[in-house]
Amino acid sequence: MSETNKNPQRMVDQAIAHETRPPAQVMDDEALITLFQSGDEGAFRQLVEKYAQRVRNLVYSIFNDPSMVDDIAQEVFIRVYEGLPKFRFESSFYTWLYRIAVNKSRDEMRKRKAKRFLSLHALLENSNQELQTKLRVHQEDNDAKELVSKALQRLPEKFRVPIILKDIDGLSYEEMAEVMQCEIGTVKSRLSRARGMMRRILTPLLAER
Amino acid sequence: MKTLSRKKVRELLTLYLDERLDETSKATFRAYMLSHPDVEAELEALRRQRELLRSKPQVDPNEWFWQRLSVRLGEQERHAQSVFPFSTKYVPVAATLAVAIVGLLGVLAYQRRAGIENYFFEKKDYVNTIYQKGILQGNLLPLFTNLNKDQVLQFALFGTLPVDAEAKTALRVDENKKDGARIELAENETRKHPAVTVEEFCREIEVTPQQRRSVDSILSSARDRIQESVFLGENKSLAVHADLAKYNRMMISHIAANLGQQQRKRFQKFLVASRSPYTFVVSTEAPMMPRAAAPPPERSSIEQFVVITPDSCAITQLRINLRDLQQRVTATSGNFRVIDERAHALMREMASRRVPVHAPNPQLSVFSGSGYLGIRVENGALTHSSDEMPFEVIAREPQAIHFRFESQEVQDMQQMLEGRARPSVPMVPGESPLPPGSAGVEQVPGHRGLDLDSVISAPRDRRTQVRPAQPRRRHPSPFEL
Repeated sequence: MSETNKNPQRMVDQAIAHETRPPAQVMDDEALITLFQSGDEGAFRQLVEKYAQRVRNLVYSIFNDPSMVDDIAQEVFIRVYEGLPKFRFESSFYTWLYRIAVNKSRDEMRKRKAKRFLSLHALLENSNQELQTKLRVHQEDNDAKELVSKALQRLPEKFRVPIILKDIDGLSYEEMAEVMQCEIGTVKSRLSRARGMMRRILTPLLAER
Repeated sequence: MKTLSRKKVRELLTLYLDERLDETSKATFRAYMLSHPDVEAELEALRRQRELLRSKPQVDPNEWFWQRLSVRLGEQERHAQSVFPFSTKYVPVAATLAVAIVGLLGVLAYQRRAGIENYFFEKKDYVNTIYQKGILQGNLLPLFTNLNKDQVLQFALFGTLPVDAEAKTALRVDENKKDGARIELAENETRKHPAVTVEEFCREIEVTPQQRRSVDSILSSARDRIQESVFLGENKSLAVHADLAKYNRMMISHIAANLGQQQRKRFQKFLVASRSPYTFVVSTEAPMMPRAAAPPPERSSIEQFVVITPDSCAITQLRINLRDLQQRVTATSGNFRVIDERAHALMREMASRRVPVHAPNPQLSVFSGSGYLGIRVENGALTHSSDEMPFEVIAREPQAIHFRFESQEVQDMQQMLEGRARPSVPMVPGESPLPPGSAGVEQVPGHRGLDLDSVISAPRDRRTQVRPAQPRRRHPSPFEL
């Protein structure tokens, strides 16, 4: 990308121009990437707007901590912004994006493990039941969904990611293999084990209710 | 229906749930579930679990996500463009601090300069000594490492190469059809030759710029060969390439071949004027015009060497990793005293034994005396390389090329005729002149390198022995670390 295109002021100007632009025709990822590679910063914004919520949800599913979703999602898109000029369309954009998101999340998990990081949200989650009851009133169904999120957090990372990619994001086995950078056989076996583990965790939790 | 394993059921449940089974497998599994209600219940539980996961609360959308991201992208760009790893507002403070620290260190260093200088001086010498010892110990070292073209030309004209800095010790060689190869390492070399330089030589011969390039090329090629031809082991051993003895004549021959008719005449006059013992014979078939310089032939990495230790001598094949050895010597910062010391130690040892060598079939003979070590290799003892000699190079006078050891040789012959000389005995296995595994040396398959056994197993006429006057003692391996 040219120096002019990397100029932050130019990026802001283009973002403003994008705001005032009439609603653009919905473009596919490939066209947007080509536009970005030819210097149109506005195309990047369209990509971000298209995928931001999916990335944020993916990160949220992995960490179950809303306080860190935006930081990690921003890191993901910064990495995308840096890598997009060299993107060669050898894979689909969103599997590449998911791969970056999963890798960033893994990095973050390692950091947190090293620092024994405990977020405010986790503190809240682990505080006594009485306080939680005072703070939040959930309907029964909502409780069940919360329990699923909790059960998900108990899975090791290598089993948590496939179940999120398949059962929440609905990726195909092939796409999952690309995101997880492994063979389809590995995807199948991890998914199968993850579902079994999830069931074993969920059954007693649901029985307590 | 046959009951499937737990693992297999789990895999099939996953594939069934994700609709990855083909119609036949799907029907079979459905039938299996009918006969196994627990599996069907598990499928239902997995379906419910998936429903729950899909309906799991999602994070609330962030309307400001793009704005915040663009701010971060801007910061990222500015940070990438910044030279400093911190905000530019701290640059003056950082610069002041840096100057103050450097100044303070400077003052401290100045106040303690004597101590610092001493420290580094002592450490430098210590480190250098240890380093050089480490490099030189146990290694086969080339005797000549830094010859210049003037020295190579002198070698061509007189067959002599200076060994030590004062040139009091020299290596002399010669090879001809009658006497074979003669190699002599001698101290107090009294025969002084006029110092001839390549510049003077080219001026006298009146060479063209193209011929000058050819002369330079011949000298460079010869220099490389000479440097690859003589090696000294740690414990008084010497290895000389069998072809070294003819390089001087070869150089004269090749230089002459690159000259025109008049220039050849001038070259012959130059040889006389500089008191070179050599001249060359221009045959009637020789081209009148100078020939194009041929590239020097490639030398094989496995070659014949004459190997001498105080107890033995042999013609054997060595594979020497010259590049590695030269790098090691270069790494010693040109401190070659160790190499000179090795040459002198070998001569002293040989001289102290005063052992004339006679072999039943003396194709290889070693002579030593006060301050010299001589080697004679009869014609036919060596497999010569096929280097071309365009013109025959001969001695100008019959006695022009005389070696110190030859006087000793005459005395020995007289002693033999009078029946006073000891007979030579065949070499017995037991110790290796230059053992395999020495740094820079490799055994040659089939020839077994420098292993004594390989020398023993060589044809009888290719080996001989230096028989010591005193009882034999075990010499440590010259390359033992």
